[in-house]
Amino acid sequence: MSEGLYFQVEQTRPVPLDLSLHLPAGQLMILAGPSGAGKTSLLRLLMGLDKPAQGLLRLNHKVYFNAQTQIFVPPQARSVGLVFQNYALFPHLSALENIKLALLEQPNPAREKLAWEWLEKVRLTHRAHARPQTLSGGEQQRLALARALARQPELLLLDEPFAAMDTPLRRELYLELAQLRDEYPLSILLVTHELQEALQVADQLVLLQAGRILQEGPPQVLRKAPANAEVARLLGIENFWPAERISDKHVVWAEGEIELSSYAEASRGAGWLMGAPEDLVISTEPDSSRGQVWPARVEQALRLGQRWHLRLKLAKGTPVIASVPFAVSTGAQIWVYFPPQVLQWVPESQRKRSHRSIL
Amino acid sequence: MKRLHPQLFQVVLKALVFCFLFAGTSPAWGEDFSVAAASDLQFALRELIHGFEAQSGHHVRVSFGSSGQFCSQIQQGAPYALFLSADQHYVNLLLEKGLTRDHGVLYAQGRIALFAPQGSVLKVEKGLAGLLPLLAAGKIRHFAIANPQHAPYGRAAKQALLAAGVWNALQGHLLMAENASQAAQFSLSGSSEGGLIPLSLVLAPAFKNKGRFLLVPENLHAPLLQRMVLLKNASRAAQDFYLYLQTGRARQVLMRYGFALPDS
Amino acid sequence: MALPCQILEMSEFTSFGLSLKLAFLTALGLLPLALFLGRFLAFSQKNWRGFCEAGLMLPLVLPPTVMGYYLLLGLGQNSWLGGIYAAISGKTLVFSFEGILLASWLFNLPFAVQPIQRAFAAIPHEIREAAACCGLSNWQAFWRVEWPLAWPGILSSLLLCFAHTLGEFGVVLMVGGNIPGETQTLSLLIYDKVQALDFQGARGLSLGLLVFSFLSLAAMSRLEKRKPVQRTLSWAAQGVEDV
Repeated sequence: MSEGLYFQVEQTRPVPLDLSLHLPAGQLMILAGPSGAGKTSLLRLLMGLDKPAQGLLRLNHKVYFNAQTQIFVPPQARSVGLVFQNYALFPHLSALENIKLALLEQPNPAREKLAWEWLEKVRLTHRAHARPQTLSGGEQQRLALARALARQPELLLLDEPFAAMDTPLRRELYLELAQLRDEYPLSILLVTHELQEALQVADQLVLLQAGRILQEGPPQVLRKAPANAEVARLLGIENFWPAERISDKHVVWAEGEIELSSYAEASRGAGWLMGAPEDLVISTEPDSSRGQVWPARVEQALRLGQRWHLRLKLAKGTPVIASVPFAVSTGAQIWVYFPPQVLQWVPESQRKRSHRSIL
Repeated sequence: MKRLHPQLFQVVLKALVFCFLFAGTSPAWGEDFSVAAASDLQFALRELIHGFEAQSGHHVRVSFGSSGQFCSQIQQGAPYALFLSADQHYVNLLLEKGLTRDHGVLYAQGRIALFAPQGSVLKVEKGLAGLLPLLAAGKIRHFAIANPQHAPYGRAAKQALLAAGVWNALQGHLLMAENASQAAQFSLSGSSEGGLIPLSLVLAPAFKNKGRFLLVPENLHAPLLQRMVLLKNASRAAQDFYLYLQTGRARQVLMRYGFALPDS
Repeated sequence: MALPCQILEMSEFTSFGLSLKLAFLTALGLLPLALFLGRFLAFSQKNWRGFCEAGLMLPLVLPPTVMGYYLLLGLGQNSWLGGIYAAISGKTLVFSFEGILLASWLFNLPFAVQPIQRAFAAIPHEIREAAACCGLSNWQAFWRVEWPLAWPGILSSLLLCFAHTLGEFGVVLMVGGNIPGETQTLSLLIYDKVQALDFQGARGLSLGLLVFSFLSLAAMSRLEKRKPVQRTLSWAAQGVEDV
């Protein structure tokens, strides 16, 4: 069973990084975070284009970098492929020749054959002799992918592949990546700041900020239990309120006491409350039949498609985002009901930084 | 892009062939040697070389310049076989350094002339003194002489101007040419009113009808005793030329160019 | 007076040939060093790169007389290099063609290096990184990626050196003397002719040299604008800026 990728790094220049990553073989990991978090720097370190000050990098038991024993394997010798953000295709060569250049170790007839196979795989055989400048964005990306995979690397890196792409192309890319992951013994590490799509395709999600890991794990877990407000914000969770758990069913937040469905291992103490905007019940009349309702003022009501996106403020000033299928006017006075089953509790005991231990 | 390569290669190849064909061509017969000559011999020596080459079949490569420059170059190893200086001082210098075969021989005595090109305000009949009123009136823009620091004719010019009491007044208007020949060229150019240049140049055909000149009295400067010398390792052919320059025919040519001959 | 003119004609061919020979050997002889230096300066991140560039620029700003003086000092009879050369060949290094060739190499270094440096620097660094990621060794990357993208710049460096050497005067005069058949290049011959009051001869040669230099420079600027490579490079560079 392959080890996969293990990477531990510590540096202050040029970009501060202090983290360790483990990506099991055959999985797709998404590295996400705001710009400046160090995502592209990390990719460059993995590829061997830069050298960190301290750290250790191992891919399937092969050591590519070890600061202590002064081992550094150059990119040419690493079993890693990189798809650059702007593809970096060789402009003076045709599509076919671009791929062939990555296969120089092979003798010429084998080179030709393999290159054609890759072109077929990415559906570019009809553009084999075209220069990269004449290819569309999607075709360029497929070519860059083929070139990166031509040497059959064990790790594939992609830098912001979803940037400047429309939805159908993105869909295509997810499917291709998923297919690749299943077909070959390939680990895939993808860097993006477009989280929404990322969540659909990843096995592991790592959130990075200022060179440190905020949280990592399968995307669903993160969405359900973000470690803190920053993670929630990055994941696009709109309602994230600080609160304190006082009992199995009750939580105290800025507005008072509120009821939750009980959690099996609910811990007491500080934490956060989350609730999806669509799940909150809004009514124009106070109706306490179901449970406690909270008065709120509509600060902003925006119609988005068939629904209205509302920005509300509760009595004590807590902001709430709601989404309703009927019209609400700005400035109106409404009442919010928080169904206990839709409220999620995230205890603060989960540390902000999570470092995975060495396996 | 690939198409250009063979075309370019062909052009480059042809050009290379062409240039090697013409570089350093010299007649296959006879010998080559280099001569350094003071530039006042510009025309006289060319005529003499022509005569010598026709007669001997050797090929003379002559460089003209100021005697001081050549003296300096020879000290640094310039590969001349024969040095025709415009004075004796530079030859003696080389003799002291052991660079010459012997102390050479006086081959000519030169004169300087006051020259004014056509249309100049300078009237040569008045001699050097005629410069003073013109200078006072601001009518002299430039006056050409060879550089006294390393050209014997320039040194003589300075001596003459000092003796005539014109040197100080001329400051700021002097064109210091690199050698006597350039001084002649400057004085012919439209921007100078005239100059002190070798008689041998003024008498050349190139100067015919270009202006007027007046010989500068010999007592105004130290005599321009021109000495030539063979340098160490001069070839047989160079020796032949050295001797040729002392023959009667050669002396006649020199006389035609206004040189006084030492023996006569 | 017909015969002296014939002598002059022969010397014109000789001088022209010398000028061409000097120009070619300068451009070609300087190429390996210029390639190495140009590429190094384009890609290096070292701190002392600035000093290197400044040193390289010196011949551009120094008066030829200063260069000539130091070259005489460094190549003359009493110098180390001059001594070795004299021991091997029996000739002096100064006042010989080899001497002015050496001087010409030094004098033309910035003209050779700068276009090459620009050509290499114009290659987006991602492309070079992509070459490494594709498994290409340094030499393979140079031969298969850098050279095809940089060769117009390299060619224009050759042409610039060539054209510039044709016009060299001061350094050739100081280091070479003015020896016909050995160091009297065309520019020196023109100078001689003016001094010899042969204005007609000088005029003809000057015009010829002017036309020749102009043609060389025109060829060079045509090369710099070579559409395919220029467009591909700007497209590649644009890719970097967009994202």
